Amino acid sequence: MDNNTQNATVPKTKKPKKQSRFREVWKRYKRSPLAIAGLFIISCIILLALSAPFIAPSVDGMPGYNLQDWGNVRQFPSSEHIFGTDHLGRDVFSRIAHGAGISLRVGIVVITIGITFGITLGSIAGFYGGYIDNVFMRIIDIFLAIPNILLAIAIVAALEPGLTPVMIAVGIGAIPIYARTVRAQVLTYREQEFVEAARAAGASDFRIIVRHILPNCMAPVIVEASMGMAGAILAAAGLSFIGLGIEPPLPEWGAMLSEGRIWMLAGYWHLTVFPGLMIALIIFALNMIGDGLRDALDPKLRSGFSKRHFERLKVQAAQKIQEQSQATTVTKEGVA
Amino acid sequence: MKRKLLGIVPLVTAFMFMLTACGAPAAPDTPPGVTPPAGGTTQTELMVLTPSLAVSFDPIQSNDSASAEFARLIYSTLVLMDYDTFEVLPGLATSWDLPDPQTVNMQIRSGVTFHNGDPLTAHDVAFSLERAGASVQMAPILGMIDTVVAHDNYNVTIHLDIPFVPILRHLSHPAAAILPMNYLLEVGEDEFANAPIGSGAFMFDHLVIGDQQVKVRFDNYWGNVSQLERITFRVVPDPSTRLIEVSTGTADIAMGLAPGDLAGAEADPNVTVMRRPNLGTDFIWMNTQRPYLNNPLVRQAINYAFDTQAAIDVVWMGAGAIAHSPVMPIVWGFVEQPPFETNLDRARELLAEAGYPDGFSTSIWWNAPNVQRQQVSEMMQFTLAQIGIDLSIETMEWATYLERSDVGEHDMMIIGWTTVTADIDYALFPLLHSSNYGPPGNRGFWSTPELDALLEAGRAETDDAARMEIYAEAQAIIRAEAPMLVLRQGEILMAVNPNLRGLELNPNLSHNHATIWFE
Repeated sequence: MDNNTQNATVPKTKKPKKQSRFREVWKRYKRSPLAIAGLFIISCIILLALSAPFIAPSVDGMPGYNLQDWGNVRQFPSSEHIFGTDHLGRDVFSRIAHGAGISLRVGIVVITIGITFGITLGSIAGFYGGYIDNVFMRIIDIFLAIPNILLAIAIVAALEPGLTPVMIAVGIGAIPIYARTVRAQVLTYREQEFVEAARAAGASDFRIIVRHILPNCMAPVIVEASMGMAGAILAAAGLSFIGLGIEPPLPEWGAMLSEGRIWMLAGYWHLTVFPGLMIALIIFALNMIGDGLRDALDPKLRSGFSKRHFERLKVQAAQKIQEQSQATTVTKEGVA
Repeated sequence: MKRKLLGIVPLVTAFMFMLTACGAPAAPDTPPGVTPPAGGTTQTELMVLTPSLAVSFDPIQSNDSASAEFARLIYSTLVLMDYDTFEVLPGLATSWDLPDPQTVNMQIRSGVTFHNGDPLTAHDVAFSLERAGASVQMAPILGMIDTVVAHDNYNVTIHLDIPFVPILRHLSHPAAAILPMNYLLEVGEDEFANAPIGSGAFMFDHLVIGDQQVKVRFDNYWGNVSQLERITFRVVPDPSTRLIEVSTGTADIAMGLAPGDLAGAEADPNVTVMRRPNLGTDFIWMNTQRPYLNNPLVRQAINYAFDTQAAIDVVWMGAGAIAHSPVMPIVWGFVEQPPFETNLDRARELLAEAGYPDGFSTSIWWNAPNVQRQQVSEMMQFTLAQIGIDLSIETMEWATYLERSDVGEHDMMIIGWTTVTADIDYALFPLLHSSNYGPPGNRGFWSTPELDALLEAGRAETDDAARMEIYAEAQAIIRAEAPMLVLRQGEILMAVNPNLRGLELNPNLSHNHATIWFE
């Protein structure tokens, strides 16, 4: 089967013209409407987060997401409160808007922690090999053996509830995956000629890793990061949902969902639907961006990753064949 | 195996005691609330959904309401309480007198048997009460019991460490249950807690740890034998799920309705909502040994600032009633205090008078996952911001919550207290006497010699009118010093099968399910 698809795609790959790397990636990225939709949604959420202080400004030092109105609780969506009001009479849309910034911040900080430590550990392990590799990777294995969410719960419980401990906890849980990805990449590059050449020219290990090897390893890391950001936001929302995340009254979406849950049976759907929808949207968007980036950054990554991509590759191949009206027939000769 | 055998014994011995049981005079012996149905019950099994099961089956091991509720069915106490008038009624004791505030003489009912067939005598009473008096867990309720002397099989004298007038009300608490001495000594305390035996209306059948606990009827009960044959308590942690189960008919009682589900439950034809004000209160402790909060003017200011009626409406959906004192109105000894009328200007004035015109920073704790307390914290934060106090909110789980507040690390914390004995002594002494800092109840770490003296005098005063005067003075001091912010008087909210009859809600939360029948 592999033979068939390779036969179908390899001749179609055009020789890249001389253009910047970014334009080249963008050109491939924008071919996927889902990836564009993801980018659009994320842009909207970033815009929402940035405009939150203007949508819901603070009054008398009380932040805009915590303006309570006890005479006006659990109002359904109306022209005045487009997402309604919550159980303490706070405008749900204002809270959603302020919450966007929290979710994005959680995602970015977690990914930064994961990438920083992951790349450092992974590249050192991959580059030096031997017992350093062994020690580093066994530590990583220990972390991998514990489910991420459990690890995060344990860390948050050991620290105390709050946004920073949650970001640290989820960030630590994210390290192993980057470390392994980077290590695998470094292993494939460290014996190549350009590394030999750098070494022969007298470059230090540090310089070889940072200037020659790592830039080549970034594609899978970027893809992993966009997917990982979705995972991080979801994990943080989950921790908040079970009461280990942020301290009230911060409008973290997971916490809003948790607070609204007790009103569900009473019919106040807007307290759970809107934060739930926002979580779903941001996760969806980040995953679509991740998929798009994966396809755009390195087409070679496609087939190796998942069955889904393999299937999509086949479909794309078949489309191209049709477009170019070539009378290529996919034969079954390779099947045993 | 052993348990099964023990279950058969009462059946065999039942006839032996039937004559005595039937021969007892009806009126004073009837436990309160029992109204036998005319045409019998249509359903003999009761399924109760509860947030948690009894922590221990030994009545003196744990002072939680689930354990008390279990003990209420399995064991009998010397006296019972009428929860409308809070009069003490005869239970296992048929009559009593108090020659002085440190001594109680009691005559024990004859012909009562334990579930294993052993007769209940004054020796069991002496053994059980001395054991309960030595219990650390039950010290606030029964710790004053010193020695108990059995004169013969049916007469005992209880001697107390201190003059203690409300002792009879304390003896109605399930922790003062009378246990079978011989059986307990034979099998040991641990085995007793696994296979408890009492003289109550129901016998313990079996337990599935963390899931359910089953009791079956004791046909040789000394009071009115229950119409039900089997009572099962099943754990369902989520209140909405409990309500749905009752509504769909898979259970008969959902304990602890969530305030948010109240309106829906009242509109549901498949559910009857039962409500009754209870002996519990929700309040905010202000740690009087912390900066700022050590000033009574600050504590008053906070009381004036917070709108407790709004909290009752928003957080509890109107359940419960406004309260101005840690003493609930149905508790003996209650004296109405002037309320703190919500008034932000007055609060600001008091803060300025206290020397903090620009406010200060402090914190409030609540224990996850108690969402009502979370909402109160958020409302408090919003309120105090308006008088310049910057309040941060901290969450922790229950065990840490108690551990850290036991040593006074908190500024403010939200907690509850149920005056299970319905006597003012239990409402004030554990909470506000200086000897009870931390674990026994005084988490405000507050004391004044005047109040200490009044609380000590109050429990020793035999004359009701004089006792009332002492407590009126004590309550006035508490109102002026405001060591706590009382949020509300609690209310029992329960969703039950519409055909369920005969259940009298008990304000101290240990309801007697033996009186239930179905129409």
